[in-house]
Order: sequence, then C-alpha cells, then structure tokens
Amino acid sequence: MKKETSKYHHKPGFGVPEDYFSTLQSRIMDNLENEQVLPAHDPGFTVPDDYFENLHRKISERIEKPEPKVIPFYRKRIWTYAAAVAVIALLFFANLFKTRPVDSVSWDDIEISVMEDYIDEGYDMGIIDLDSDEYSEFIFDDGKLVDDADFENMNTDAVYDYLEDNVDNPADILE
Amino acid sequence: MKYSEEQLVSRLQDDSTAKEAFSALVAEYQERLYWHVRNMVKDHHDADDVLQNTFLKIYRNIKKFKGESKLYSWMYRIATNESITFLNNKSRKLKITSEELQDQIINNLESDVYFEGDEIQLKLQRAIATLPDKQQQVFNMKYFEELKYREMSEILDTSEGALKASYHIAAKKIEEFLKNN
Repeated sequence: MKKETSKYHHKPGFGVPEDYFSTLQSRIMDNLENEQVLPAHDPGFTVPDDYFENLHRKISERIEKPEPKVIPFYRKRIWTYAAAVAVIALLFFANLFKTRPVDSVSWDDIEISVMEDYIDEGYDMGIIDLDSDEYSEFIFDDGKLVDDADFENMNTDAVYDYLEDNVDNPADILE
Repeated sequence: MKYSEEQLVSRLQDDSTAKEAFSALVAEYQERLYWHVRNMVKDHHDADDVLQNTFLKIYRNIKKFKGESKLYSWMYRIATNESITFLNNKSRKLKITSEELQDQIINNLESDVYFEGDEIQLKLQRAIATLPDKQQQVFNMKYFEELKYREMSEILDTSEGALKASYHIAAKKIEEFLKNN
C-alpha cells in the first residue's frame, strides 16, 4: 500500500469543503481585486509653500501674546441678560397661559437658540473675554448651550433661587 | 540635540528650558499632528487654526502632563479633541447637522487649491464622509497616517481588537461605496 507522501498531510482528522483548493486561487484574486478598489494611501491634500517652516514662528507669536483673562461666565453681565430672557420666557409660559400645566415647561420653550445667538454675538464683538478653546469647552459642550436636560419640575421659585445664587445684583436684570 | 521623551518633557516643564524644548517639540511633531488634524477637518486653513490651538494648549498644559501615557498620544488626543470641537462648533454656527457639514466640506474640496487629489481620491473622501465619526478617525489614522494599532489604542483609548474590527468594517463600507458609486 502506497504511503501518504505529502509532507503537509499528517491526518489530523480535519476536512475541507468540497472544491476548496480548486477555487482558492480565484477567491484570493477576487480579494486582491477588492483591495485594489482602494486608491493610494494619499489623501491628495497639499499645504502652502513654506507652511511648516513658518508654523513655529506663528505659534510663538501667539504664545507671546498675553493669555486672555478668563472671567467666570456667570458673573458677566451677558449671563444676566441670558438669565433675564429665561425668566421672562418662563414667566410668560408658566403664568400667562394658565391653561397649560406648569410642569410641561421645558427649555425647548425658551428659545435656547436666541440665547446662543446672543452669546455668540457677545463673543464675536469681544464682550465675552474667552479664547476660542475655553469658549467652546465652556459653553458649547455637544454644540448646545444647554443639554437636553429635563426641566419638567422647574418652577418660578427655583428660577428666582437660581438667579439669587448667581447674579450679584438682581437690579441688573431690569437694566 | 535630540532628547529622549522623558528629557523633553522635563525640559518642557522647566520654565528655564521650556521655550527651547517647545521649539524642538513643534519641529518634531508639527507634520504628524498637522496631517492628523487635516484628515479630520480637510481644509488647510481650518487645519492650521486647529493645529495652532493644539500646540498652544500643549504649551499651556504641559505641566499637567504626568507621564501616565506617552507624550505623543497625549498630544494626538488634544489634536483629536480640538478637531472634533472645531467641527462641532462649525456645524452649530452654520446651523447645520454634522452630516450636512461633512457634505459641504467634501463639496468644497473640488475647488480647494490645496487639494490635488484625482477623481478616485475625491471619491474616497466622499466615502469616508459617510462613515460614523469614530470609524472615520480609525480609518484615517490607519490608512493615511499608517499608525500602528498599538499607537491608535493609546490615542483613542480603545482596545486594539476593537480598532481592528472598526477598521475592517470601515474599509468594507468604503469598498462598497467605491464599487457602487
């Protein structure tokens, strides 16, 4: 009886699907073809001449500039205005339209975008003294001024308490 | 003179040598971080803004670096976060979704003087833009920046296995997109 001559075949008991070896080459070629669908590992971007030569100088110039002073945002007048907008909107919805239950009031009703625009404007005009990193991190986490918090239980007393804790001079609200 | 990472960090954290060490740091990492940022934000001017902010943040926070991770992975994380923050702010300011922003960015590439890619490279960018954010990052870091999974794992704080799976899925989606478009 002829002995098994293949050095790869030591009869470990494994089997392969029918036609496995006869179709192997074409399957490898298909995979190679698929890989070639992807282009060269070059995104195609370029940079201006001397960009990297000048980058360090530009960064150094910014480092030499005095760092913008970070003023606690809640103490700024801009926050007072924003709080006033919130209070007015809340009172408007909570008290004037009694037919609507108070517990349905949410930040969605307060036109957050108006407050965001107002603060944006303050930032663009230099009223808010934060650099862009601090501004983005501090105010617009996830791209919103206020997250989708649930304010269903908020009432006017809570708003007054909040303002009392955060606004130095309540008269500022009426300015 | 070339310093080891430990020496460089120590010099960066010492006020008397900080500026000189920072020059060395910028020279060493500016191109790698630039391309990392550029692959995320696509536009050169945006990448320049983000990169400068990244280096400023590194300079101002280097004393908080405790050496719990590699310096390069700490810097890559800052650059990644800066890029994400930049894109979020941009979409918010334009009052469009992040998907709409991606479309807009890719459309702008066609007329961008700093994009010299051919049709297939532009199509590749379109395909990448269809991926979820995390898969985009993984694909860019592996395919264009050719980072090792070990390095990506440190930067993205994700296991190598998860990164391999993510890259595989991203590459498959891109292949499909390129074949069907």
